[in-house]
Amino acid sequence: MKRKRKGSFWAGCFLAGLAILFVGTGIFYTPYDPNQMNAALKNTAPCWTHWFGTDNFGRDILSRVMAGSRTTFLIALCTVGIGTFFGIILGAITGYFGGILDKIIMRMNDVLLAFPSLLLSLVFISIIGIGKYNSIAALGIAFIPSFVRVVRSEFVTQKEMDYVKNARIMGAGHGRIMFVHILPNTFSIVASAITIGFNNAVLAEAGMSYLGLGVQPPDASLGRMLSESQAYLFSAPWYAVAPGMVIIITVLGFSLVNEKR
Amino acid sequence: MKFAFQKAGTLMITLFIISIVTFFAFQVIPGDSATANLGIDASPEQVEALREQYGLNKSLLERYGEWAVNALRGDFGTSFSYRVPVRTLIGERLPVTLMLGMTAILIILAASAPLGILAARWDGRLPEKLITIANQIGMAIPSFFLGMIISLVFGVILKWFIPGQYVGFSENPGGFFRYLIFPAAAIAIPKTAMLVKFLHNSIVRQLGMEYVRTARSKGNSEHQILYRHAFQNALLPVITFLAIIIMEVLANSIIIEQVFSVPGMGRLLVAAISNRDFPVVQAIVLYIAIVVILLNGLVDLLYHYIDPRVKTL
Amino acid sequence: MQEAEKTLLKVEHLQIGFRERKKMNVVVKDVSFSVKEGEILGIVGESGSGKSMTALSILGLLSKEAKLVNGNIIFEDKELYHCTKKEFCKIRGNDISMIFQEPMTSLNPVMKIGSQIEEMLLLHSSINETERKQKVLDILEEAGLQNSELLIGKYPHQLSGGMRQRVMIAMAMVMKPKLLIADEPTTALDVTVQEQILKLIQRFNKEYKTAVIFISHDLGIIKNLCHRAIVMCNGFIEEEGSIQKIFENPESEYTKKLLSAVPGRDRINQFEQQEDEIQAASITEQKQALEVKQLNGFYLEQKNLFGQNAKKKILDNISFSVAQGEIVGIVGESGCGKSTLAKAVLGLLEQTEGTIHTFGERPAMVFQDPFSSLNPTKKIKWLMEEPLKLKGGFSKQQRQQKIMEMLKEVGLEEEHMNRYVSELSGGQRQRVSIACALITNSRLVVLDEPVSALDVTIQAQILKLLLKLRKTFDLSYVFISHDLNVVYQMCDRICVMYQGKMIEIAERQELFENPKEEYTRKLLSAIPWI
Repeated sequence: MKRKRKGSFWAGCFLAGLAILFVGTGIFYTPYDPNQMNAALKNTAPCWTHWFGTDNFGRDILSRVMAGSRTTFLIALCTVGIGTFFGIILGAITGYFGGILDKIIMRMNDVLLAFPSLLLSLVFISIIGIGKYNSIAALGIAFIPSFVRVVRSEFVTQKEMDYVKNARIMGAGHGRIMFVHILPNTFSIVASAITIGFNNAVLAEAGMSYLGLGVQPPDASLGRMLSESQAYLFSAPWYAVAPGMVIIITVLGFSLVNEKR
Repeated sequence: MKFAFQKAGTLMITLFIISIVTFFAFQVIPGDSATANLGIDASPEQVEALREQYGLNKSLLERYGEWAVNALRGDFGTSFSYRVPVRTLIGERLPVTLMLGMTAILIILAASAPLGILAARWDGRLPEKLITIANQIGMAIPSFFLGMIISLVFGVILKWFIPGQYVGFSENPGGFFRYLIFPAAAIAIPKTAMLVKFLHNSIVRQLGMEYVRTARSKGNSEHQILYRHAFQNALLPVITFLAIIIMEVLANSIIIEQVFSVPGMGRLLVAAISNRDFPVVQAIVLYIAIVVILLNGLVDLLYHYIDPRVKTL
Repeated sequence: MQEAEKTLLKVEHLQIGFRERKKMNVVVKDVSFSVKEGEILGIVGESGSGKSMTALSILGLLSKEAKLVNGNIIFEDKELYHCTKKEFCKIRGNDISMIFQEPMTSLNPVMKIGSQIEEMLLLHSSINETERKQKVLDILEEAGLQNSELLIGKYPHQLSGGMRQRVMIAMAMVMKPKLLIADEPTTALDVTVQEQILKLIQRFNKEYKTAVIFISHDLGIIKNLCHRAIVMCNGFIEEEGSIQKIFENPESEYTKKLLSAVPGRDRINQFEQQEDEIQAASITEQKQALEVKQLNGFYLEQKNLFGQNAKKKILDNISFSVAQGEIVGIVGESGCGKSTLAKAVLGLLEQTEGTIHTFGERPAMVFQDPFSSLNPTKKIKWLMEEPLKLKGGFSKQQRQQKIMEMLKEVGLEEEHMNRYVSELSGGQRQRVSIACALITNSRLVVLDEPVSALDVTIQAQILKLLLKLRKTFDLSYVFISHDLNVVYQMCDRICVMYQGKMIEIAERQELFENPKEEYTRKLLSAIPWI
């Protein structure tokens, strides 16, 4: 039965669409070069030529936020991609076959899952070092356990359904049952896990760059911008507003789209 | 009681495995931490001396044994960058982080219980809608951005505290708490939103259950249904969620300590990671792991004694 | 029924609807009836007839989405929907109480049995603690539960289904209400337990003069339990009258249709009708389709990570055979191992001893619940093509051809091919299941409760279809069911299972007229025949 979508869903679509449009534009076009400094324009308040103002080096904040959110989105997407890929494979295998292997993997998974993902990625970062690609790897690995859990529990429920038994009676192999019969039935839940995961990845990435342990200069990043803006909180509050708002709009949008009730 | 012992047994094993992982993870790092610490123009003798000093020339297994035995005694070696025992570093900062975390958790609990119940009682009506909107926004704000807003509003504009300053407990207990309340609020607000939402959903789900219909058919008033029947059932899943919240508080305090310049474990960890000060990182990771494992063990234990369905399975 | 008896409850022009996209979807359209003191009134109807909604509305227990649009409910002299909340709460549980279909979910899982019953006394009386406890113990004993002293400290999940329903009844009866509303209280229970529960309700009705509204889809129960009945269909009352009138001289067409669809009705007649079909089958009787010899089946119970696996015996030394063209029924109550036997026959049970021999093609299976046995993410065409693809050796055209043929055989249209399962009705889904089972030329089909999830009129259509297909394709069925009426109508031979053993195998007529085992007799006497 088709349910009526709530207003919050459409509000979410609007905000998420806005965020995607903003980042999408940023890939091809930014009003200024995000790294171009201009001592004459230090800490300019928002005006017609610089919509969101300029920072302490006279760089255009709008351009920098565009570039920064591009990086953040890229990292978040890669993170979710890694998490989903390994999550589906490990979750499908452990959930479908069960047994000792399942128990061992899930015991480890539960331990990892007990750590907040930001903490886990910080631990990885401390091992493999700081950098953009290291951030992706660290966040990606840190996000796998939650996807494994979601996919596994779906496979555990689905494999008990009669349609799976029927497929086995008809002579379908395990691989076919797992990926042709069961997998499409997990899509709605995996999609929701991806949305939540994306949000968490955006927040975790921003947190990591805020701490200076994520993306390194000269790459712009939302977290780093926020951390740099802190010194000018009073004299140039607009510096912090733009990157903060992009994060809030993105996360709010995606979480509203995902809202069930 | 048997269950508790069994649980303790598994916890010990998990802890042992984590200690191995923590130790060896920091051994596979390319480059020797001793050379990294001295810089590239150190003489071979200097490097050798330092390796000797940190015991880096022994075999891996020997080193793990030594490290584990020392760790059990609370001795995690000497920090590379601070040149003081790690124990001293952590000893100074752990109480600060603990106080910060506990204040945040108290705020979360005090705020979310009434709000969650309120939202559930008025489900679908105006108060619930307002709470839900506030929740959605609260969950979307990164805690460090919230921290910045708080320090702008309360620190820079209202001048209730000086951003970037910190008052130790021994210097001035009252000032200590006055300075702690703002970072704690920055941690607590997004998590309160999460918990309110969870509690609200949990109660509403229980109110739709068949046993609630039975309770209504028995002549219970709506008030009695909520508090005598639905609430107890709704709280069970909240226990697990609370453990997650506590861990999230811990994780967020790392960032928030940075925002408000609170000299806690989080700042130590961040500095240690940036300086590749591995003894400190190792020790903090181990500390966090112990907290995580104990917390989860506690949740399991609590379930075992609260939920009758788990006990007799 | 004497006319002089006082009317206890009056329902007038009841209309209930769901709010859907600003439109009201009316489910109960216009229902009026009354209940007299001390009588048992049955409300019977198929799913979607509005009978449960009617029952729930009496106590104001409708879910949030449902809304009472119109109508009055008058209990004694009070209009229930015009009472204050407080007055209504006083009536609930005290004057009118209710029991539900699923006693497991209807009891609070984290509250002890004793406290749940005691709550009634707390709400509606002012007696002290010791008196309360005594009353709880008394009512539990009355509800036929021994060791009540022990029982009050237990939680619902520690009891069996039958015991839970007894607890529910005890709870409902502790205040000696004037009216008990029972919403399908035995549907989730085994037939022997059902009989006990019905007797218990009957006893309380006699002893305390408690009037009962008994809602059921099972005409047999209504006939054996109630004094008067209402037949509901699509939100209207189709017929109302004494049991005698409804079952012997039904006036409405719908009642007649309903009665004729009940399986096992009028035993002799049915048997003669089927005689020629059995003969048609017996021509090929020599050929065996399935032979099971000394089969033991186990489940593995894993204890912990590295612990020893415990083997639990589910099937105990089972031997039986099915001839080509024969329908063998397997009956038994839940937990007797009949579904495990089906799994074993199809090779899904991993731990077995003994031999299972099937002749010819790989056997196929039709499951009970057509919601879960058909993959909801696929179209019907895909579902029917899959067995052919897995078997291999068909070109795309051949597969298409076969699907068309099969759809016709099971009474579906070509247009159904491009639909999803969720767009079909329960009966249509079961037809698709049957089509999928037969499309690869399987000659042996295991039917695991194939009609239990369906309404009685749909059930009759599917049973008819199964008999027709057997003739067309010379099929053999292993027909698993808990419903002896259905088994009686369908099967040539019947096996009775009890606790993993096959305790009796006999020809149908022989088994029903001359059962040898004590358990079989008990089972047969428990069925509410029409």
